[in-house]
Amino acid sequence: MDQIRALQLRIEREQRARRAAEKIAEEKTRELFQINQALRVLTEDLQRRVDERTEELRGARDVALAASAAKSDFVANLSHELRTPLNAIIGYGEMLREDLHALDLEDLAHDSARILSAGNFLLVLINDLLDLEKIEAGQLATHLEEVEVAPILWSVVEIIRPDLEANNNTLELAIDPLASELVTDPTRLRQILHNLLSNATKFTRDGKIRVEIGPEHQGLRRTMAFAIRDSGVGMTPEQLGRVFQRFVQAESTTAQRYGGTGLGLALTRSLCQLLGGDITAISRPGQGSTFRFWLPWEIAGQ
Amino acid sequence: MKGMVFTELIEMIEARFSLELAESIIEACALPSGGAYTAIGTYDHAELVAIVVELAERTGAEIPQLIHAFGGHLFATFLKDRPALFAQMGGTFALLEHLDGTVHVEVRKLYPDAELPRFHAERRSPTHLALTYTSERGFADLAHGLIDASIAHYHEPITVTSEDLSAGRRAHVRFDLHHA
Ligand code: HEM
Ligand SMILES: Nc1ncnc2c1ncn2[C@@H]1O[C@H](COP(=O)(O)OP(=O)(O)O)[C@@H](O)[C@H]1O
Ligand SMILES: [Mg+2]
Repeated sequence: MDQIRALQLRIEREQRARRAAEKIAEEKTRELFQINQALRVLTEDLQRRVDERTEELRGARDVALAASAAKSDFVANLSHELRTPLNAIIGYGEMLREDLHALDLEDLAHDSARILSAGNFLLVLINDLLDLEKIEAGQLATHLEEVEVAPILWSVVEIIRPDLEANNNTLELAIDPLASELVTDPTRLRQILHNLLSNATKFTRDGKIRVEIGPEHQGLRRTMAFAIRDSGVGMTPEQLGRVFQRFVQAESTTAQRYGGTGLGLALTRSLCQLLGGDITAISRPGQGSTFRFWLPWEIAGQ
Repeated sequence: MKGMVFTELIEMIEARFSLELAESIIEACALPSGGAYTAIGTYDHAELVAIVVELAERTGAEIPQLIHAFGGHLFATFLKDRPALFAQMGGTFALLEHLDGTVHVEVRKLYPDAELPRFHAERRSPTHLALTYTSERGFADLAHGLIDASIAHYHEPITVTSEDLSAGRRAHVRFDLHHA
């Protein structure tokens, strides 16, 4: 074979190879196009399914919200309906106890006192529940006024004094003289202090409870800070993490040992936030707990 | 087998012998593809065998030697196409140890229909690498040529012995590489 013929053959071969390559490239391009089309269909299908799911979830959420609102209404109504007869039970119970006492029927007076304390416990529970529902529904109104802190604290101490003595606890009050007055809702402040002090007393035995009140600056804001410290049973970090949730108690045995419902701290936090402040807690098992809350010193704009 | 292997073989025949020989072999073989190979196409492995057999007949060279030489030619092509890969590997042992896991994996990404051999590399000692080649196409001599070219490229004092584990079919072969 001479060189010219070889070159000729080679050129022919390369021309055919080029056409083959072009055909392969064309096929690949078509294949890619079809894959692209399939992908687009798949994407559209996925998007449609996501949309459908989103719509379903939105519907489920609306249903859940409506159910939750209905439940709140129901609880509020029920609480109101319960309070009326309960007030009658407590009122007549008190009269009955006085009468039995006057008649020297001490055994019966003692029994009726137990009916009374059970009734009072129920009343506290119902009030807490009602307050919580109102706060969540944005319906709890606050009545702000200039408030003297010390008298409010003393009135709470008077209420819990029997429990303090029953558990053999000492109480220390440290009120900064600068912290005499602030603008807030006195009823709600009393409620907060009562919840925290009754917890401290309840979960401490043969120990010490200390209340500190003083001004505190948060950036440019002046606030009033309250600390309630106890040397009681304390909580583990997990227990502490759940303590402000409603109906949560540190342990499932807490209700049997100490009573209570686990509503108090949930309400306390909601009240602190309603008044423009907040609450935190630190605790160590076996060493005690400190609950700190703060409220704005004066309401913004005043 | 990918067209690139065929175009490289023809290129080697042209370079080592002549353009006339290359074309005359292709004409004589009456290949189904007519010898119109393109790198992105895929062709029957039997065509490659036919070309090599015809080449051996025309030149009087042994078939294994020709395939071995083709390995050397392919290595030079790979080296030219991807110098970074060989710089990164830094030596024959590393290259062979990464053949199945890295090098031929990259080939597979480019050509999903490539029919690649399987390599199993095992360090028996710091200076001894045992490499087992397995392929239906029985191209152990091509692997041998590639290995020898790699040793020459990295200027390494490595000696290679081999043992055919497939009764001379060249389909299952162990290479023992000893570094001095
Ligand atoms: C020293 C290193 C290498 C050795 C020993 C080796 C070995 C081989 C062998 C023996 C074949 C023939 C196919 C078979 O027997 O089934 C082959 C095919 C192939 N190798 Fe490698 N190879 C090496 C490095 C590389 C590198 C660096 C590349 C980079 C592109 C590469 C790309 C290919 C391609 C494209 C084929 C053709 C696939 C087919 O037959 O369809 N090889 N290799
Ligand atoms: N001062 C405290 N020391 C230890 N544990 C406390 C204290 N205050 C609250 N806890 C834990 O947090 C739980 C929730 O408190 P609270 O919401 O007031 O509910 P309750 O007093 O009705 O149990 C309590 O049951 C108790 O386990
Ligand atoms: Mg409580």
